[in-house]
Amino acid sequence: MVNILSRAQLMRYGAYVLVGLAVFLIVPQFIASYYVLIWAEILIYAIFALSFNMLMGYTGLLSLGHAAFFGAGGYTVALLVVKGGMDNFWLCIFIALLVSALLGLVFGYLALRTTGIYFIIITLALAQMLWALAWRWRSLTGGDDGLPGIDRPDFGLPWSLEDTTNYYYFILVFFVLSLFILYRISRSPFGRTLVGIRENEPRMQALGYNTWRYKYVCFIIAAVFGGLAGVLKVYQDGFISPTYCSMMTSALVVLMALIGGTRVFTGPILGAGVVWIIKSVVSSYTEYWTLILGILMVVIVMFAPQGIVGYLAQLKERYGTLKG
Amino acid sequence: MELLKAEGVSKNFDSLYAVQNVSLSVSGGERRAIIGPNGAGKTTLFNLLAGELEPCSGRIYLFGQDVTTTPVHQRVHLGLARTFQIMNLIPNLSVLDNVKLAIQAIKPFRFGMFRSQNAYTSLLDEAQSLLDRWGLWGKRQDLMQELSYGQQRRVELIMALASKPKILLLDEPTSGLSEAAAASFLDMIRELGRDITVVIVEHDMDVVFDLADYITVLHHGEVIAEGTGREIKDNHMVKEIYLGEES
Amino acid sequence: MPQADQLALVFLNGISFGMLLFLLAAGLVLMLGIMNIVNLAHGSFYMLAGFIGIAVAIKTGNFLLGAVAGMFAIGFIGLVMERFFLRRLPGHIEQMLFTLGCVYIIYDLSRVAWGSNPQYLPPPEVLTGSVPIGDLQYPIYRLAIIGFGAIIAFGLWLFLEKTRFGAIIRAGADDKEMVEGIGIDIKLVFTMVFTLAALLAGLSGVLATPVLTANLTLDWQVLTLAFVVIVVGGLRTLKGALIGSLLIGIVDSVGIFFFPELAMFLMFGVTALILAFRPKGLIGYGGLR
Repeated sequence: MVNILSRAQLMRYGAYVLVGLAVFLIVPQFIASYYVLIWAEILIYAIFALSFNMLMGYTGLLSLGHAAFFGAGGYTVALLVVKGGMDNFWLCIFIALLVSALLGLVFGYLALRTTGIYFIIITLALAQMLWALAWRWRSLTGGDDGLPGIDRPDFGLPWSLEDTTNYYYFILVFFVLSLFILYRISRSPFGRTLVGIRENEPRMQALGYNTWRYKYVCFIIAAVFGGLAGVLKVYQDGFISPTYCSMMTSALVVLMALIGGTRVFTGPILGAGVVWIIKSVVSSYTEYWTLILGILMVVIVMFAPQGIVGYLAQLKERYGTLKG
Repeated sequence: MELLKAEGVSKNFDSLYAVQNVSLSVSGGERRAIIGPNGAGKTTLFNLLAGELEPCSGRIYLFGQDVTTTPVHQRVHLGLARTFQIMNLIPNLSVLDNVKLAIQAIKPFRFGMFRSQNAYTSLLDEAQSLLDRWGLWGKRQDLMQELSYGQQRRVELIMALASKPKILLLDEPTSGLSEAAAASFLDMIRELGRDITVVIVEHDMDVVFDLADYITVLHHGEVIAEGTGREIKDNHMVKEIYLGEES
Repeated sequence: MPQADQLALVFLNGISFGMLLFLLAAGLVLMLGIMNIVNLAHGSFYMLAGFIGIAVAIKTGNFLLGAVAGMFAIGFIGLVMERFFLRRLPGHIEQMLFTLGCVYIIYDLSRVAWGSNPQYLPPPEVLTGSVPIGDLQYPIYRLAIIGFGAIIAFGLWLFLEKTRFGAIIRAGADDKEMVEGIGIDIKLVFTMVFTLAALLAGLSGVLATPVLTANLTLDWQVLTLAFVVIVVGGLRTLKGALIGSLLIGIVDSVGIFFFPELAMFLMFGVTALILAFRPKGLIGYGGLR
């Protein structure tokens, strides 16, 4: 089962992992909690963007309504905690992921009856439906004001998750888990088939693949991980509002995946980082951060549609061959 | 034994009657060619047999089973495979990756989500044996788009063979090929044993008379003649409609 | 129990809003039909036009000037967008993503230029005031929008059906290759269509300002409504866009009046169902007409 790697390669990967671990585990102890907060949010959005990219990068389905699942995860937890008084985290997250999966089941069934532009519009409409519900059903969701009062989960541990850095580690666990699972899926026969479907769906059918089933399962997986991101975010924020399901959130995740690069697995992670840093950090230096995001998007689409990671990969290849 | 049968099949698009009341029957091990001038309905009939299109009337049987409404991917699992004239699977992936996907299509683990595709060594083994047999193993790491047109067509055939089909539908497989490439492609088909039945839609008469045991001639969507190569050559109607097309 | 005049008001509000929606939807339909792209910045066009229109109208004291300024500013932006950017992009997805980037750009520029407070413009002198309907008063301006919208709809119909340009556009929607084959520069047609769509969006945006305030949430709000309209109308025909706009305008108006909580949810839900089961919309498909 293990790919045969040369000793040098193993040592190189080992070094990456160690450095990565060091950075992600140790650095947060030494920087201001404001930065840890941003970092934590980047991880959350990275999960969100990775889930979106299962649809866009791997299967070729551009969904303009992925925030539906982000919102579903978030609102489920919010409703359970605020209206239901439930403080068992595991139960909350389980139900939230279940709801996301069910929503994925229903939305996926409807959306996958369409292709191309129709798919884009229907995903938009479905997410807007959810948003409208969140916005207008004041008695249930608090409407525009949202629902406040969601405390961080309490596991009875000596470290309270109310602390920013502690909650960051909590998110990190889910991030690593999600990364691992989604990566495995992308390398699996299922994942490779998705790529084939993205490239040439009729041909894949002619080879014998039930492409609809693949797209459907992928949609549900994307829904579940999108919901997970929403769950983590709602505990992070402590409150929820309809923006979780808004078009802006859907557009944001598209932006993240695109800027990072949709064709490389790690692209969306970088994209989440870039976009969120621009939003959080750059915004404290200039009021034009939305403009910067827009320009970045335009530049990427026009000059580097493979995203930053894709572009770097291309450079590396070119430079690699030059080195001979 | 009738492997593939069409019974009174018709297909029209709005007011265009592409295929009208066509019946044909292909036996196991046979080499059948479907010919006809442009617009005769060959491609439509081909797509009906392959499952890309559904007939407006009539039925299609595969191994005795009614597959008229069976979707494309399921027909593959019944033992049908087809090649495409134009589409390559993934131009940006290597030949090997393309072939692996083709082989994987009928494997039980094709839905597997947890192990890397590389872990399924049978894919690599079978790909090697297929590519090796047809002399393309050396090109396995090349991107599909880097291959010559003739080589791409060979890979196309290999991918169709990956599902171990009992019946192979070829859609104008030699079109656009040089004489040498076409000849080599034909050798490939000849090397296939008689446990694979071949139905080929073709324009090139040399290929047809060389390869086919039996020929079905279409004109204006209808079957106007069927017979062995010699019978078709001597058929007056066929000669008439091909007048000027044959050198 | 609502009275007749209240119902009439609701109905008229629906129709007038529907007319504004039609101007937007018509543009989207044209772009979809010919160029097969979805302009995500269409709502942004509408929003920006409102801001520009208000600014110019206030500066010059002339509503008409404001309207013209808003409309043509957006037309110009659309022209530049298509000619220098969209044209260069290889595929529909890339084009759409480009328009998404433009949404952000337009949003921020608007925010910095005009601030986050909603803006309002009084209607032109000649159209202020109201007429009595039953016991209630109805603004003349809204009636004017209905009339104006009908004129534009008719004008568009004339343009498409009776002029050479219109014929080219219709042909291009049906068969691009054929149009190119007879020697027409399809790229020019694209630019023209996009610019026309932008002009219409701009017009809608400015005309709306005395009725709805110009504010920064409009871009997405209006875009999603416009999408609902074109889905209901069948995505490809102007006739569908008109019927869809009026229908949605009335639904929106009625919804706000009778059951505000569920209206939007139902509207989007129905839209999704139509797309899933009858993508030809409620009206049907028959070329661009």
